[in-house]
Amino acid sequence: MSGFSSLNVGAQALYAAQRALDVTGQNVSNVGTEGYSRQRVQQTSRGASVVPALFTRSDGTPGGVDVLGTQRIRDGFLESRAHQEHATYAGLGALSGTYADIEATFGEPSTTGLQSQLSSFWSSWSTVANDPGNAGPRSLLLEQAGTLASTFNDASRQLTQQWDATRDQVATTVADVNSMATQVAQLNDAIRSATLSGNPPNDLADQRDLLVTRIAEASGAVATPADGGMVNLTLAGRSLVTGIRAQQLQAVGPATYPGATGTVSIGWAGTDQTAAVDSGALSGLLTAVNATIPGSISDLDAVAASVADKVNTQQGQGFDRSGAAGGAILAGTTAATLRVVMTDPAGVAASAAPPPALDGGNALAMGRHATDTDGPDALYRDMTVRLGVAAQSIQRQTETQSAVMGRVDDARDSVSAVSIDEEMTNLVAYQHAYSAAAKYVSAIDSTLDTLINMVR
Amino acid sequence: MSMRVTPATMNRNVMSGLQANLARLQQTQQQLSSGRRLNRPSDSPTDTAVAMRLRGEQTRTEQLGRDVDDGLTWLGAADSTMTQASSLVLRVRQLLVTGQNATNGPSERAAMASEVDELRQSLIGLGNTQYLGRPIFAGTQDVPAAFDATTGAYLGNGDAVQRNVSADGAAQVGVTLPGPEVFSTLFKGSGADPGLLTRISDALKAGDSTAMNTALSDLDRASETMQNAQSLVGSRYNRLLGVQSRGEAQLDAVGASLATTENIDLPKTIIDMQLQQTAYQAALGSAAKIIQPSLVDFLR
Repeated sequence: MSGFSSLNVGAQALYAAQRALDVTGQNVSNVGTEGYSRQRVQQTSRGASVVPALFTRSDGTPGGVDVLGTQRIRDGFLESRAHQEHATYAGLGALSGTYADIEATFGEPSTTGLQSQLSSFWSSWSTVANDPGNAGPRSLLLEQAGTLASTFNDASRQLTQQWDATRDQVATTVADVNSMATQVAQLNDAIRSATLSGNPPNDLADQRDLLVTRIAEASGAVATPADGGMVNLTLAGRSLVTGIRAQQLQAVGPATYPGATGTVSIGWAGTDQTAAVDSGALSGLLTAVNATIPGSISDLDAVAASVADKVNTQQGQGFDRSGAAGGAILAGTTAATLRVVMTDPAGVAASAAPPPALDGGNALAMGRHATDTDGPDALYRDMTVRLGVAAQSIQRQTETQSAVMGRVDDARDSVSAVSIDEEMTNLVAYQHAYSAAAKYVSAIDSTLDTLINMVR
Repeated sequence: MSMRVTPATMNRNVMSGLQANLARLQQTQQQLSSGRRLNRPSDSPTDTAVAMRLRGEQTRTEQLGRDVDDGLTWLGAADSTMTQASSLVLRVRQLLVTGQNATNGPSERAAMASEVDELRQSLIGLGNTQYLGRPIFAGTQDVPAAFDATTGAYLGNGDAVQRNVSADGAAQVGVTLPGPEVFSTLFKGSGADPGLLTRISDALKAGDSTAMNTALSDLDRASETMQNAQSLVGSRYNRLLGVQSRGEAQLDAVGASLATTENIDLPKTIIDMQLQQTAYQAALGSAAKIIQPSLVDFLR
């Protein structure tokens, strides 16, 4: 043990304090970086050799401090919980957006929605009943029927467009997941190389974990740690990313609204196998595309079919101006195809008795369908209430999930986020450590000075 | 383990708190500017169902008002026509009674007979009174006139034109009476009977006192029928008036329930808005206090 080795201890201490200050600087710089985990310098005290030797013996003089590296502070369990909760929230968010759009399409309750069009339509039958001999109210009735039909057509078209847009979103999200999965595989590769060569891969790992979080949000994929600092991603047990290899997904199914048949699913590219997506934005979008929007369209179709059925059936029970049984006014059994086929106002079967009688009996009977318990008005009200209840429930779930997600994020950040106060405290501590080390070096210096000058 | 609070946690909590406050403010603002509490079904599904039902009822009640107005016009036309017809029938009766008097000679009776013929034409004219291009005493028959102008034969049918008297269309009231129920056999009897007025005219011309006696009692019965018809029309008119005023009251009630279901309670919403504003400002204030300082501010 020479006096110069003490200088070495001082140099080690200065170096360690310097590194600690650097890392503190890095933490402070990245306080606002998304996905950044705070880092710590890992240091250990260097003791004397404890290995017994034959001809030498350590005198127990300590050898200073050793910097082992910088460590990323992160809790894997909290990360994966955050992934799950984010995925659930993203799924609910996608669904709640879908419901909001559907509600906007129907725009109930209002003075312009389908309900008020239906009311006006039934009401115009009463006007015909009051003056069955006049062509005016009959023409007005056919106009009103046309407005009603085009309101149905518009609502159906908007829902179909919404379906197409949501289907596009599925394809975009899948493409996004594919690209992110590829990047995760590339980063895994880089991290493995860095780990093998002994370089700290902390910042690469942060980047990768941010992508993993996004993939989890989009698809509900589950991350598991693998060798060499890598991360594997699985989707319902099947591998999306294994080490440096990424699988690709594809959206399967019709690209435009197919009517009643055909469902959209996510498949593994290059195979005919289906990928199970149970949470994440994709699962919400798939529910919207396969259940929510088609459900609303078919509910609306049922209302349209009921209008056509009630009107045409009642028409057939009356007599038109020529004395024939009334012909069909409406054609089409879906909201998209509902249209007025009658052009001649004389064809409206207002009379319940054949000519020469001309009463408004059939028109009155028609007007009464407004209050049918199985009529279109009741069906439409029922579907609106069901839509409202479903939308409200999804909204509440989304709010609850948002709170849950906040708590999980708090827990995660409690471990890995940068705290300015803490960094400042560390800064002061490391600064003092540096000063003390410098002081130590200067003390050794003066000691050596004393020693060297002793022989003068 | 106690929670380690970081700026990220605080930022998120402050932001989510502010966002929640702003979202509430925006919703209240939307309610205030639209005046409506229900803007989409999910705001309250049950209230939406109620509002939609009430709107349907509102439309139907408005239509009921129009139906009843129309019915009242029909009944009014029938009533005034019958008032005129009654006075003409009374004149026929006067002529007949005068004709029975033996002091009248054949020429006077012939003059009376021709006046009766004129009155018959006038009465047929009244029987053919039209409203909106349709004879009001022809039942539901689609004919230009209820009675043939020369033979006096009834051309209509025995049905009545019906008008709604309930918003759901369940109840109806006839707003016309078929011709024979008003004019009985004045113009044309069954079989070969040429009609009471023609018989009176013939009896006056012939000076047939037996026929005149029979005709007088027949005329009294016909007059009684007409009075009955008129009182029936009057009672139906009253009934429709009742429906009309009930309909108006109903419309007010529906409007009021619709308002309580759909519209905002203005004072309450304004106070809510004030409270939310205060809460928002408090949140902003506390956020400013919490976010600003860190240890940096206290290190020299």
